[in-house]
Amino acid sequence: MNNKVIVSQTVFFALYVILQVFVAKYLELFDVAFCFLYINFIFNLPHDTKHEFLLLLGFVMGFVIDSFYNTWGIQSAACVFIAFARPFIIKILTPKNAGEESEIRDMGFLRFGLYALILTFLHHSIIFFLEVAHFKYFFSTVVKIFFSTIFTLVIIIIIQYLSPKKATKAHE
Amino acid sequence: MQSLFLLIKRFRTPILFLLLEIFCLILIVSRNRYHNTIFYNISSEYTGKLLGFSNSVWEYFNLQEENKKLAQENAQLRYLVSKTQYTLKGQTKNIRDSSIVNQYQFDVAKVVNNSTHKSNNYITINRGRIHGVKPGMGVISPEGVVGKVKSCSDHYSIVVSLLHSKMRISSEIKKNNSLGYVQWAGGDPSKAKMLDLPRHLDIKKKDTVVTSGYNSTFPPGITIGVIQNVGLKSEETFFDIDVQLSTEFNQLSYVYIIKNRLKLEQEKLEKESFEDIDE
Repeated sequence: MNNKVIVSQTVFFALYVILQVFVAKYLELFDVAFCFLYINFIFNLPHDTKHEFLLLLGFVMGFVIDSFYNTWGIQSAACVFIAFARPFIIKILTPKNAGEESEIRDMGFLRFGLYALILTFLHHSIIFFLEVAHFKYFFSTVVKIFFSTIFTLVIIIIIQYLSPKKATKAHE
Repeated sequence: MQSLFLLIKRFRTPILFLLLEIFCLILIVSRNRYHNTIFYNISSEYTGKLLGFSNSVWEYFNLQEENKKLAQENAQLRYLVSKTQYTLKGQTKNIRDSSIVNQYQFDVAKVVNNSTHKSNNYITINRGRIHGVKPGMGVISPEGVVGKVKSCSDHYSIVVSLLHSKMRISSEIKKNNSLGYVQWAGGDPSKAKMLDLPRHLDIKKKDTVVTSGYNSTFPPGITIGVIQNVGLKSEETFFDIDVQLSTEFNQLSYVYIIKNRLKLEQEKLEKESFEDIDE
C-alpha cells in the first residue's frame, strides 16, 4: 500500500462522509427507503488491505457517521460487521479458475452488484434491527430493510459506474 | 504462555472483530436512551425470573424448618383444645355454654413492624378495629407469649411487646402452679425475669413458665419460657429467676390475637364487686 493509495483513500473517506452527511441523510423515500451510500467506501477499499485494518477502518467510518446521526454505535457495529464479512464474500464470488483478483473495480458489473447487494443487505439488516432492538416491529423492519437495500444499492451502482474517475480509468 | 500468544496472533482478526462489536454494543446501550431502557427492561425481567426461580428452590430447603414449625404449632393447638375440653369436663359438667367452649378465639395477624432493641418495644400487626381487634387483647406466637394490644386503627394495631419495661404478665410455674409474674429486664430480647416467687418454693432450672389463669388477657397455660437460672441471695425473700423466653422476638412473622369472649364479663363483675366492698 503506497502513499498514493493512502492519500486517495483518505480523500474518498472524507468525500463519502460529506456525501452521506450532507446529501444522503436527507434522501428518504416514503419513510421506508433510506440511503447509506457511505458503505461503498468499505466496498471499494483496496483488495490487499489487511483484514484487521479493514475492521478498524470500518469502525472509524461507522463511528464518524454515528456521530453525525446521533445513533451511537449502531452504524459502527454494522460497518465492523461488513468489514469482517467482506473478504469472505469476495472469496465466494471469485471463480475458482480465475487468477488473483487485483481490484474491486475490476469485478464485472454483475459480480460487483451481487457483492454490493449481499453486504448492503447485511449492513441494513443490522442497523435497522439494532435501531428497533425489538422483534415486535419485525414486519415493518423487514420492509424498511428491503426498500433501503434496493435504494442504497441503486445509488452505489450509479456512483460506482458513473463516476468521472471510473470514466477516465476506462479511457486509459 | 507462548502458545497463548500464538493463538491470539492466529485469531487476531476474529478477536478484534468481537472486541469492536462488543464495544459498539456497549456504546449503543450506554449512549442511546431508547436502547438503554430496552436493555434494562429485558435484563430486569430475566433477573427477576431468575431470582424468583432461586427463591422457589430455596423454599424447598426451608421446608423442613417450616414443617417443624407447623408441627409445633399443631401441638400447641391440640394442647389448647384439650385444655378447654378439660375445663369443660372437670368444672362445668352441667353447663353446656358455647361461650365457655369457645371462650378464646384466635385470629391470625402478620407482623408488619417490630423492634427489640429499644427499652420499650412495640409491634405493629395488620389487623385492626375492622377485624374485631380491641385494646387489651393478648397476642401470642406459635412459640409463646408476645404481648398485649395497646391501640387499634381500622386496619392496624399496636401491640405492647413483652419486651416493654411496663409490661407484666401474670404467670406460673407449670409443674406446681406457683404464681408470680414475668417482666422484661431490658437488654437481651431473649431473657426476662420472673418475680414474686417466695423462697420456700421448689424451683429448679428447666422448669417451664406459663401464663396463669389469673388474668383476662391470656388463656391459662400458654408458654412464656423456660427457667434458665435460679438465684437466691441469703437475705432476699424472693427468688431471682432468669427466664429464657420461648418467643423469638427477632423473627416474629405471624402472631395470633386472642379474643376472650368473657373478658368483659369477668372484668365487669370484678369491678362491680370491688366497688361494693369499697363502699
